[in-house]
Amino acid sequence: MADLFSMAIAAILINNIILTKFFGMCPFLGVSKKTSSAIGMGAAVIFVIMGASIITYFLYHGVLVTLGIEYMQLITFILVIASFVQFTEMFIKKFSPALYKSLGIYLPLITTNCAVLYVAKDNITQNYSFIEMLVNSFSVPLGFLLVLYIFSCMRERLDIASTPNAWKGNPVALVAAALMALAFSGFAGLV
Amino acid sequence: MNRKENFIAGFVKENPVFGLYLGLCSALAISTTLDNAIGMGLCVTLILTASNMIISAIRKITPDEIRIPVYIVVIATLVSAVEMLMAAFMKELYANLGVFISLIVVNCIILGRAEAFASKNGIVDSALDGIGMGLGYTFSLLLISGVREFLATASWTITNPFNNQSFCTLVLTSLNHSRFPCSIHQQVHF
Amino acid sequence: MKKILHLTVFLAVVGALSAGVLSYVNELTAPIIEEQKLAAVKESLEVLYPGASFSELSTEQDETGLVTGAYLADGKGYIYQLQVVGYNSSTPIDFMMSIDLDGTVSGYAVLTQQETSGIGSRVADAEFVDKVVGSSVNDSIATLSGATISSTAVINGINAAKALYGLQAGVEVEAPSAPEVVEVVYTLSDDYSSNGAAVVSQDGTSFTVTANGFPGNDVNEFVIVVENGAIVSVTNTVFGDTAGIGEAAVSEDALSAYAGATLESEVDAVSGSTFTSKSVFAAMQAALKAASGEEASTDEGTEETETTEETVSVDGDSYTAEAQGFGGTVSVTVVLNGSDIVDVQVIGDSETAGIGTNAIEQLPAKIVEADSADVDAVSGATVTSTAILTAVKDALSQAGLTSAEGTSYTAEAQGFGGTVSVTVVLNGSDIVDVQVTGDSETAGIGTNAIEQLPAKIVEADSADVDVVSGATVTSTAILNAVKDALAAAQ
Repeated sequence: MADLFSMAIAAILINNIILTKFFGMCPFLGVSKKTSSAIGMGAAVIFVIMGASIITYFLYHGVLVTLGIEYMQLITFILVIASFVQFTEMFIKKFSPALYKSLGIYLPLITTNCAVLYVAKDNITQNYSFIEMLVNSFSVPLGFLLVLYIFSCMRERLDIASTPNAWKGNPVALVAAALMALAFSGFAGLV
Repeated sequence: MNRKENFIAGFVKENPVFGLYLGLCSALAISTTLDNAIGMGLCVTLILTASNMIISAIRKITPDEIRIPVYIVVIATLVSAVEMLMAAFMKELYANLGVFISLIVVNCIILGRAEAFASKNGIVDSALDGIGMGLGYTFSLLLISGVREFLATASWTITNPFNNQSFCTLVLTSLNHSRFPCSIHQQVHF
Repeated sequence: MKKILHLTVFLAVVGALSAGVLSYVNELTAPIIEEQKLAAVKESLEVLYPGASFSELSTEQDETGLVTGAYLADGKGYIYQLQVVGYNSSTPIDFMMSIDLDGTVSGYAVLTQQETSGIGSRVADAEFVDKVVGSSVNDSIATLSGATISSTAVINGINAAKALYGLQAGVEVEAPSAPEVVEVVYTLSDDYSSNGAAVVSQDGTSFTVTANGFPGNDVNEFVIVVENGAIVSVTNTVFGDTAGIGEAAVSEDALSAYAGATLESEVDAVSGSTFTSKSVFAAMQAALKAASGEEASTDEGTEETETTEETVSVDGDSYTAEAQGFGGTVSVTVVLNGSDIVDVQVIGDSETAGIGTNAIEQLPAKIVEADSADVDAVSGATVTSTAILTAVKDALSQAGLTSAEGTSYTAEAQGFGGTVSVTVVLNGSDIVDVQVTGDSETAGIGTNAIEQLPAKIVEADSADVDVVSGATVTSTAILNAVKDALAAAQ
């Protein structure tokens, strides 16, 4: 139990997927302009990563290993992820059209979010058991959501601050992200 | 004229990393040394060009509804093949780049260019676009890793990926007797 | 309908094509990758089965988690790589062992270990290796006394490998029991000099004694009541040993078991706390001796034998000299019959147990046999050895004997407090001996130079050695005198 807890803390704070490992940067810069869409995106990513991880985990251990075709890992994983995102898109369209509208193009782009494929692959390379895999695939996008939310709050402030013209938009956002990463590096050694 | 403009745009105005903010994951994580940057950049260029060419070749027969999955399969096949070949023949580079080779599959650049350009243009045009974008990406990686490697080790080293021997090293050393406080000392091996 | 069929077929064709390409590339590259992985470990595998062809096996069936790698050497046997945590909790012990196809343990090699030198590190020594190599897979291996934790960990690893061997080779292996802990019998008359027991104070029949346990730890203090040559009670007042390990030896239960013990009694050490138990024994021995000493009764046969301060009852002249050892002063008494060395006694209470004490035990015999101080130092105990040999040479020079053949040249130089006289013995052009006398040099400062430089000069075979720090004047005087002597020899 304690192991799982420290694994979760490590995944959320110490090895944060965005600030320490640099995965999932595209939505980080693209969606984080408004807090509401950031939260929505974070929630969608949690759903996608959990679902995709579970399916790919069983696919790998059940099918690929049994048939001895581990080299097909990348193709099968990415196809699973693409299909799952498609499924999530339909799901959100039906149950929350407002969220669907605010996420816009970025929802199908979760397919190309490095974080999703990374977590799916990580579960395999680290040889996690089923429970560890569940904890991992829940904590990592939780960290993603956390950082995305904090960053969107910062960006809302940055937008109304008076920044020099050349720095407006992404440049100053990247500087802010760098400072955040510096801050998060202080968590190292927490567990 | 158009081709040339297109090609140059890949370097500056539409630079994937600095202009379009695509492919940031690998750009930030990989670019610690020049070797990694060159290796990754060339990988991406190769895969981008190849996928552009293949997708352009089958663009007429690909049904519209399933084009995204088809593109993904093509790109994933290329990436898997390149990954296996690198693991066998370029061990060190493979070990350094690690999971990021697989993540080329989800590199927005490749899917983005396939969708935006290759599905609508001829093979040669697509190939040139791929090379241009890829080289622009490599160029941006080189810039970032040039700064990072210099800050870390005060030198730039380029290594032959096939046998892990240093090709060329530029080291910043200080000379006691010179007018200038430091110099670039070059060692070249072949 | 037709549309969906068309889509599915297209997708299927694309999928099949890609699968085909990938399986081709896989066939091309998989053997190369496999070989590279094996090449990395091959070097260490070759140590156990040179020249064999190896293939990697899965370690999935290992339930203990201690087996980190399993390999099959075709036609020869199985190799297992293990990682166990011994005494040092931050660095595990990595070792390999090989089991032949007929069930004999044919190889055992420790790859990395950071256990306490001379204690836990014995799992890599010949003593333990000989126990393991050559044994059958069904044998159980006994732990090393005094290195219980380290050896138990290693033996658990060995048993895990044997169990896995049983599963992989399809052989029935007797489930090994937990490693037997070897019981070493101690008596209170044994040599406990390495524990440095000292009676601090005495109050009637109650003695306060301090003794060292595990090297490097603080002293343990005991209050021991002795009556009529037997222990009445032992109480531990200060515990300075390893927490979590040594306490078992000073628990009330353990200490009450020693009531009634005399110098001839056998006592049981508490398993797993050997060093602390020995400190208890050392303290009890010191208390008993102090009690018997004051009673002025002569106990025969229960006096300690080796590190005694009495001069040995051998005919001859004895000469005593001292030198700085590792932890303190080493005092050496050399007994000469004419010009032959007939006996050497060494006292070095502050030398490290298991290291310096080895030199104290082994060198005297070697010196007597060689009839000179020109013997090799005991490996791993260089400082103590050098101290002993230097003291022996000193003693010999007191007797007027130089410890080497050759021509001697004497020279003098002005030291710190007075004249320093140096005699250099040359064998051809090699410096074989250096004797220094300097009575006016400052004790503890200049005298260090007098003690340490001769050996260095002989070893370097020149006067170009570093001065002893803090004793520059005396050192320079000695070196200058040596140079003068060498010049005189030209």
